[in-house]
Amino acid sequence: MSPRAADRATYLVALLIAALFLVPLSWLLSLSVRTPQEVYLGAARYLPEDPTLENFRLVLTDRSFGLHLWNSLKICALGGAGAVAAAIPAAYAFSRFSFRGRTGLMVAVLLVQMVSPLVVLIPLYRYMDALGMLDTHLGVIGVYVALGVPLSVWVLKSSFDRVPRSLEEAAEIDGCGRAETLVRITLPLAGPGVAAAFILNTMMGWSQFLVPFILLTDTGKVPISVAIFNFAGSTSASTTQLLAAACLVAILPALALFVAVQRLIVRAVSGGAVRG
Amino acid sequence: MDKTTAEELRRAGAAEGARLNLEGIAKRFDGGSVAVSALDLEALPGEFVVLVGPSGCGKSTTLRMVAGLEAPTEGRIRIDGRDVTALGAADRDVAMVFQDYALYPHMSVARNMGFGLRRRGASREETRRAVAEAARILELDDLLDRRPGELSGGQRQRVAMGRAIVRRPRLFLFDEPLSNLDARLRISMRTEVKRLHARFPTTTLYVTHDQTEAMTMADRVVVMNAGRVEQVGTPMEVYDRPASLFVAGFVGSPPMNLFPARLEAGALHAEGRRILPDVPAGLPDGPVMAGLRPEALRLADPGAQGAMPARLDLLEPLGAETLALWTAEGLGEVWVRHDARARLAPGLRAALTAHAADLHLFDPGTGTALRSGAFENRSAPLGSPS
Repeated sequence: MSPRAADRATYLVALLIAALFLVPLSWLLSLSVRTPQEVYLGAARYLPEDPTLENFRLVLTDRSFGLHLWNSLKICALGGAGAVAAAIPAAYAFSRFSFRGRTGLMVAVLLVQMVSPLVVLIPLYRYMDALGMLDTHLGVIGVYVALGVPLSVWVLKSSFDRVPRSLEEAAEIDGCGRAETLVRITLPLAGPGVAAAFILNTMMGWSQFLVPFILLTDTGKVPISVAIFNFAGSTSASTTQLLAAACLVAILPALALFVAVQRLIVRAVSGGAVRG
Repeated sequence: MDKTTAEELRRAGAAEGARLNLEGIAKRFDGGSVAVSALDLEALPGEFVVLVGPSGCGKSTTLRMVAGLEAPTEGRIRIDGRDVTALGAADRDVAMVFQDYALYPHMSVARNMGFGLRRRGASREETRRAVAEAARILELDDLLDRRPGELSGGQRQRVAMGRAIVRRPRLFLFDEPLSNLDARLRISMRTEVKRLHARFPTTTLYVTHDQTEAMTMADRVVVMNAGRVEQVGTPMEVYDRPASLFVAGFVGSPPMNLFPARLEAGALHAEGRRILPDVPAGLPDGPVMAGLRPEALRLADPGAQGAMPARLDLLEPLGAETLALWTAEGLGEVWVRHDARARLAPGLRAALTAHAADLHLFDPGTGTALRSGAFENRSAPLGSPS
């Protein structure tokens, strides 16, 4: 294959993959700007004849929509921050100390990531019930923290690995203890990794549905993902266009965040040494 | 740089530095490899001691043990008589300049230099003053607000030294600090480090793999090989009277010419030739390793007694002198130092000769020097600055 043909093939594959994600999104966009009547025309009218922003207006002026967005933001950001905070000591230990079974433990941490939340939800529900944390944001945040720790440990470890050891040794000679070195030297230099881990966790939390759906029953406490589901199931009227608008508004913060920080995430995950 | 004043020296308060003692320290790593074994060393207050040896000889490990970054498996480390073996780096009052400088990339030059003082409880004002003074001495005044990433290699090097002197520690440790610089800068920084030591005569332990650096900077050189000390001495002692084959082959540029030979009835024979007739008596007949410095060999009349026929293979004109690689009967390939004006050309056939007084002899089995005292009449006396 000539280099040019190879380039074309690469673009073709990239296009196919992009389409896989973009087609449903564009379909959502198409639905969100339709009138209730046009919704029934389905795919026959991909570009609506009379596009309207009325659905967005309805969604954005709904007071409960703002509340659910706030709920989402709160539990996702706190869950993300909690996961990073919990993962920092572990990642530091994996990066800096040599101990028996280190590689095995690292793999074990990753294995936890492979377990679907579905599998643990029933026991989790019973734990939370026993702890009296059902229907509390703290309970959901706790679960987000637990779910976010494995990925955070890996992302943070690779960031710590890139901070030269000699900097920590210099800090030690300058009079810092371990904890002080971590806070004053290692963490600031691993900043992109810390930020990337936080953002990845926040976005994963944003797309969570099952955990808040099971653990939260008070409709005033649920995040946006559950609220949209509740709304869809609560009315018999045609609300498809409103749901579509709500979904778009709900994914917008995550999307915007990702676009804004994607370079940071790519750098944190793929390497790029600390420059002295 | 300003002229040193007595007042500055007094304020530096570092005029004596600490006495450092390493007593039988050893380092074995978990895998069982031995980095350093049973090393004894004393550095006197204010002394500039250079650890030199090939990579993997244990010199950096030794330095890191002194710094407190590595714990010795055996032995004691004392600073001014106080046992610091169990103390962490933070509690030893040492300063270290790292090979990669280890400047904090997220801090300005001023904060890099003042960080250690601040961590040790100095006030903001005290720190500012100390940093300003160190910056003035190292000509870093204009760079104080920059980040390390914006500096050249030489500037980073100076900041790393500034960070060390700001604290006025009892002991300076340098871990191959010049090896990342280009050749020109290395020579000028060499001078700067020496000048700095003259200004702050703090006890210094300096690690390098470069024997020229060791020879030019040290009060005393510690030649290390495979985790052991081969020889401790002034640069000239180590050069004139190498204690072992290793030292003879390591120190000097080019190093000593070494060739297998035999002692027979007071004469040195190699490849069936009698090379030197009157080797100082007192050694039993038998095989030896013989050594001649490049400056000990001279061109001779082919007919002269003991002259070895030789062919010139290669010339390295250095300006002030010319190095030539000869193949001589009895000696094999040898480097000879010639006057730069000598009329030489590759392919030249001539003869080489040497004085028995310049001859070094080593035990071919153990590598230890045999009767190096025999050359005292030619060597500089111990400790002489020449």
